[in-house]
Amino acid sequence: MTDSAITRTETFLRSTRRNMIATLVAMILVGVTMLLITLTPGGAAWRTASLGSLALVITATILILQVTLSRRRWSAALPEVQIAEADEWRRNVVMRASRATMVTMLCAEWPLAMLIGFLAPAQYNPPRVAMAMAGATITLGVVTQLALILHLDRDDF
Amino acid sequence: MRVERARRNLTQAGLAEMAGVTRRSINAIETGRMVPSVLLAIRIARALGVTVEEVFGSASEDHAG
Repeated sequence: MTDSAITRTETFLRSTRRNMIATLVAMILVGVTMLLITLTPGGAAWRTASLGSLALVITATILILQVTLSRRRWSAALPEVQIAEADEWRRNVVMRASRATMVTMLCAEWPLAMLIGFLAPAQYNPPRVAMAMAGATITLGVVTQLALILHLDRDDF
Repeated sequence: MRVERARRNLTQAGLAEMAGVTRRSINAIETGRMVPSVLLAIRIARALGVTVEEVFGSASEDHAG
């Protein structure tokens, strides 16, 4: 390997980190919007506005991801990509983040269910409340995992 | 490990290149955030041209060697 190969590996790692940040922001946007839509009561006007805002958020998310991911395409066959993916520190970070996320989700499920139960108006049907709970769980899980990876993998020079 | 690396005038990136890992792994080991696996420890020691014991010392010594 040459110095330029080390640089390419670092570039790939920075690119991956940037992509993760973009995905984290996108996930928060979509998750919060979905939750607000699911839990907010309303009539026809609200339904139109909520679908419009959801379409706007999804479009913004796709644009953010497109801009971030289209900067450079990385092939899995590249040596710098293989080195980064086999890297022990990286695997260590992902494993620790996954474990912490699982513990977080196990501890958060009950409080989350209580919170959504309080927030959801009494007239909501069970499938709608279940949808809110599912959306909240997925959002919290993915956001926690990404945030932990970004935190644990920070450069401490 | 930091001492051995400095003796050979190697940067973290240079040692990472020789050991086939990323610079972050080397940094994490030197700052005590990660304990390398046996395989990685052997690769680092080979890259430095010393034994694993010389690099990582004993438990009572500095963890970064």
